[in-house]
Amino acid sequence: MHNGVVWALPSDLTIKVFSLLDTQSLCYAAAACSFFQNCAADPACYVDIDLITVVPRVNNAVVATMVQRAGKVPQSLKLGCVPGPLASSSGSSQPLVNCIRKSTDTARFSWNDKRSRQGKESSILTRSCLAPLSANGESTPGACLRRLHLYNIERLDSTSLTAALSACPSLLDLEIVGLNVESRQTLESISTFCPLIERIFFESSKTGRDDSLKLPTCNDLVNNCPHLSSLSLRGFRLHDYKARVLIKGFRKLRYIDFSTSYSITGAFLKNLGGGSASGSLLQVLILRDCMHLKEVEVARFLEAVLAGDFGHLNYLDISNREGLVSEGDRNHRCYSPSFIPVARLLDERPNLCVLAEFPLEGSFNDIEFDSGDMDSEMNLPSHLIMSTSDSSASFMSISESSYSSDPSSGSDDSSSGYDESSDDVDHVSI
Amino acid sequence: MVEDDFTFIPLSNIDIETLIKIIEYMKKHAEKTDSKEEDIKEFNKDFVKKTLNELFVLVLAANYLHINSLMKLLCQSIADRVNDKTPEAIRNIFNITYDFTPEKGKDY
Repeated sequence: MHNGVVWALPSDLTIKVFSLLDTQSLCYAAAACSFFQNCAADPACYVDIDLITVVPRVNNAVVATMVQRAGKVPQSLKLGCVPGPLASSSGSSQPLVNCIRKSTDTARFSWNDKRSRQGKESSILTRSCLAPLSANGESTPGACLRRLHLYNIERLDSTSLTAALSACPSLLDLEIVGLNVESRQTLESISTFCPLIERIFFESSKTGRDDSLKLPTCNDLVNNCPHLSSLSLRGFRLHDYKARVLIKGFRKLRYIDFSTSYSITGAFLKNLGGGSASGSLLQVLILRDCMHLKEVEVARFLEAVLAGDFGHLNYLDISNREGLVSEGDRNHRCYSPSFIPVARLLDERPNLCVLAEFPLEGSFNDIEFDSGDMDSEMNLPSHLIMSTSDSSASFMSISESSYSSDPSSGSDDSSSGYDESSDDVDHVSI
Repeated sequence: MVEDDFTFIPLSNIDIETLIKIIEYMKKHAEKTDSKEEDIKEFNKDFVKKTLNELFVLVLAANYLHINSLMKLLCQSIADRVNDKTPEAIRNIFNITYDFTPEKGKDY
């Protein structure tokens, strides 16, 4: 009775307020009093379920409860562990894969990301954690799910993921980081079950070693998922001809991130993006740390850009901590961005931002210190060339600096924060 | 029902102070043009700097009057005060008593 006096809102308005809370705060509110607990059980509060934690703390039962409470309305489900302060989907170029840390018992643990205490052993998500999405026979909770983000759930395997995807025909946005799943199987499942998909962010847990992706899968994906506008495949062994199939096939593709891919040389960019060709809608192209990316292919690509191709391109990232592959000898690396025609690009494509960070040659053997800026021993003096054009607030930045190992906090769906003048960069919103 | 150039709308459950605040809000938002967006954002920020009880009364009034934008603003500001708080903190701030019987009440 007392609570009704101090909290003057009836249940429908309380539910409205609660539906604006993040998931963890919702649970805390539910624990405050019985009235709050009742309100917090309303499906309207579970449209967006965010169970991302810094250390493992959420187990299957929690997921099941949330999904069940959401009834038929869950639209977004985020699950898993992300190290550091980042709790939302990341556009940063540092891989998010991490091994789940060993849990130790502590007296009580707080939900505060900044004070990351370690949770109890039972707080592990197992392979059946997504089973609630397929529950209930015909009217599955997953039917309305639009967004599914999964991070570092070690025990989730391809079979379970496929089962979950089969329950989510309305899926628009899928993020998978650090799961023990193969690219071929996962992308096959997506093409079979999620025809409406618009965004795929897929980062391998076995950097460079997964080359299961084959041409038929690329073709299936392209044929069954025509609405895809954002594709990120990071850390896979991706060959040029497969990349080409993907880019040519997705008519609405605007955002590509193939960072840390092995095998691609850049040849897939040849003769794409002219006029009405597919690939011409491309706005963002990120090829960070692609070990086999050739300087000559990038140069050829930039010539095409200057000739007018890729008219919508506004962000290109070819930074590489090991430089690009030089002409001829594969063992010789190019560390200088001098092949980039800076002046002409500024002139003819002022809206384009190019990010090309390379280490100084021999930097890993010869560590030099500059009393100026350095965060760690690996940082070397950086030379930044910037110029802005008056008409738009975008520009080009090229730096010859050592690759900083500190992950910058990636903001949702935007480009990497390594660009030091990121305030002015045109961010692509997806 | 319009009679003689004016319409009666019963407002028996809204006191005069609250009504004045609502009218203040409506006036400001009626001036909305593209150039005034920043201005309106500032106004919104200051508008919600009220005590919890004032917010409650305003929400109930806005709900009754079906003013959706005001509802959204007020619900969000109340939610902001509940967000990121432990159950104990919530009970302290909102002066709520723990009223679970021993079986209920679980923490996540």
